[in-house]
Amino acid sequence: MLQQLFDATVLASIYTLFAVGMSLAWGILGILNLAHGAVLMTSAFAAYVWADDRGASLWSVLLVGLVVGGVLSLILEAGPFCVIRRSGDEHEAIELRTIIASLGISSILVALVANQTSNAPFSIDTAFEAARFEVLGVRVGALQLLIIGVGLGISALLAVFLRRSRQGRALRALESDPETALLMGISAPVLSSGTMFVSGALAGLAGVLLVVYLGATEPAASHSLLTTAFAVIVVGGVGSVGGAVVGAIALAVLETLVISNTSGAWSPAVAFAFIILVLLFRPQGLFASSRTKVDRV
Amino acid sequence: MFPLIKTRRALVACAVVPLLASGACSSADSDSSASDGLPATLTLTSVKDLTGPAGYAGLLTRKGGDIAVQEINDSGYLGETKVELQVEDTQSKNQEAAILATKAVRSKSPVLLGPLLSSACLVMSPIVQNGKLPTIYTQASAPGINIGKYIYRATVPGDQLVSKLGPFLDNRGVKSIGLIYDTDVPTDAEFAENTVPRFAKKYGMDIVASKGVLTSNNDFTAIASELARKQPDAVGIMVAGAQHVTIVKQLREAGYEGQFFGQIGAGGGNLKPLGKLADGFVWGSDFNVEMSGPGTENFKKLWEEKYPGEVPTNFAAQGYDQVWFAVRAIKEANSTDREKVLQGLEKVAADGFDGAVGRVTFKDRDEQVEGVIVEWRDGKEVIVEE
Repeated sequence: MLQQLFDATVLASIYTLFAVGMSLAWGILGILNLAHGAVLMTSAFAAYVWADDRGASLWSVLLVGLVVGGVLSLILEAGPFCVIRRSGDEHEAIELRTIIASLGISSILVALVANQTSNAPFSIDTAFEAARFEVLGVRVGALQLLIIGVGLGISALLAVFLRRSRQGRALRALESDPETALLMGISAPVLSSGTMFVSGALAGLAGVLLVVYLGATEPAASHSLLTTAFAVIVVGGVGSVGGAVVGAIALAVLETLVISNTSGAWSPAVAFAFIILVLLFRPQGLFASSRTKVDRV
Repeated sequence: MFPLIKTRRALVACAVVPLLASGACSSADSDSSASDGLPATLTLTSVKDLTGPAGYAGLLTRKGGDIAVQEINDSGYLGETKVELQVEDTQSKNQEAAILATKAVRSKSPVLLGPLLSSACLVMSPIVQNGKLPTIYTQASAPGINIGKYIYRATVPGDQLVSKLGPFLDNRGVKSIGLIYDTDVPTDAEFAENTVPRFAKKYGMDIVASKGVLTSNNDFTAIASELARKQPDAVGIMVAGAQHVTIVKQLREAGYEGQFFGQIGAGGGNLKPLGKLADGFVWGSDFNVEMSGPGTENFKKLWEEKYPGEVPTNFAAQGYDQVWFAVRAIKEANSTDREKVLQGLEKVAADGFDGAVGRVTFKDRDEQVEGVIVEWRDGKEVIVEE
C-alpha cells in the first residue's frame, strides 16, 4: 500500500505541473487552452531531438522542455489568442473562438510531431543514472524524488508568489475583476504574456519529466493527458494551485488503486464518477471559491 | 466485453442503416463503374490507421503498400493501367472506420485495402460484407472480423503466432506466467484471455496474474510492483506502442528479472527506446528482415531503394503483400467488377503467391505462413526460431 501511495504521488506531481499551468491560464486569463497537451508533447519532442545521441544531462533536457514550452505558449498568446481577444466580440464569443483556435493549433502541433516520429514511441536519452534504494519497504528512485520535489516545490512557490508578491496580487486582481484591475494601472498584456509563458513552461517541464519517467511516449498520448488535466482542474477548482495539487493526488491515487485492484478498464469510469460527484456537490471544485470564473466557459 | 459489443452494434447500425436504405443506388453506382478490361488509372481505396494509438503501425503498412504500387506501375504488371491508392485515415477510431467503410462501399473502388486495428475492423466487416465490397485487412486477428466471403486477412492470424511461443517458452523452462494486456483492443484481449491460457494449460504453466489496462493508461507502476513481487518466469505484454516501453522499464525497475514475451505489435521498432533493457523479449512474427526467399529478398531490395538505411518491418511487409494480393486478383479478373474481383481473390488465394512474408497461402480466407520467433537482442530484432 505504501508503495502504491508513493508511486501515485510521483504520477500526481507530473499531473500537477501539467494541470497547474492550464488552470492558471483558464482561471486568470479565461483562456481554456486545448493546445496545452500539444505544448507538452512538442516540448518533450524538442528535448528528445536535443538529447538524441548527445549524452545530454537531465538538467539540460529539462531546460529545453521548459524553454520550448514557455516560448510556444507565448507565441500562442501573442498570436492567435491576442488577435481573438482584440476582435471586440462578446466575451462568450471570444472564449469559444479561443477554444476552437487552440484545438486547431493542438492538431497541427501533434501532427508535426507525429510526422517527425512516424507516430512511433520516442524517448529522451539522458546521461542521468537514477540511484535506487529502499525506505520502509518502499522502493524509491532518485528520479522519482526529483519529480516529487519539482512538482510540489514549484506548486508551492507558485502559490506563495500568487498570494504574497505584488505581481501575484495583480494577477488575482485581474482574475477577480479585469476592468477594475486595468483602471488601477495593472498591465494586462504583460501579465497575460507572463502567465502564458509560465503555463507553457510548466507543461514543457511536465512533458520531459513524464517521458524520462515512463521511458517513452507517443504523439497520441497528448489527448489522454489533456483529459487528465481537465479532471484535475475540475476536482481542484479553476485557477487554484493548491486545488490542482489535491486534485492530481486524488486522481492519481484513484487511478493507481483501481488499476492494481480491478481490471484497468474501470480506471476512467471510477475517475469520472468521482468528478461527477464533485460537480454535483461542489461545482466550483474543492478549493476554488465560488467567485472564481468557472462560469466563464 | 458487453459495452464494447453494444457500442459496436450501435456503430454498425448507424453505418449500415443508411447504407442499406440507399442500397439499390449504391450497387447501381458500383455496377455502372465496373467493366471488363481495366481503366487507365485504377484507384483503390486504402483505409489505414495513420494516426492515434495504432498510427505507428498504420504508417508502416502504408509505406509497404506504396512500394508495391510503385513496383506494379514500374513493371507494367497491369499493362497500360496504373494503380493509385486513395488513402483514408481511421485515426484509430471505430466511428471513423465505420464511416470510411460506408464511403468505400459507395465508391468505385473494386476492392478495399483495410486497416489493421481489430476494433476498427470489427465495425467495418458487417458494412463491407453487406455492401459486397471485397476487403483485405492486415493484422486484425480478433474473432468476429472474418465474417463472410468478401473478407480476407493478409496476415497470419495472430493467435497462431502467439501460440508458437508455447513450446518455445516451455523449452526455456517457463513454468509461471504474468500477463498485462489492453482490454480495449480485442486482439490483445483475445490473446491474453484465450490464446495464452490455452498454451499455458497445454505446457503446464501457471498464470499467476492477468492484469487488464487501457490503451490510454500510461503508468503501470502498481501492476509492475505486483508482478515483480510474484516473480513469474515470464511476463506476457499484449499492448500498444509506447506502453511496451513503459511496462518493461517499470517491471525492471520494480525488480522483475524474468523473461518477456508479446505479440506481433512488439515489432516495428516499438522496443527501440529501451535498448538493451528489452533484451530477451520474444514474440512471433510473420516477417523479419533476416528472412530469405524470393519474395522477401525482392521486397527488402525495393525497400532499401526507397527508404535507404531504414529497416523494413512486419507491418510494411504486410502492407506490401496486401496491395499485391488485391492487384493480382484484379489482373485475374481483368475487370473492376467487384464480383469478378472476388473470384480473382479466391483464385489467387487458392494458388498462393510469393510475398514479402514468404510463400503466402490462405485457409478460410486467412493468410497462412509459417512465421518465426523473433527476439530483441542488442538493440535489434533477430530470429531465434524458424
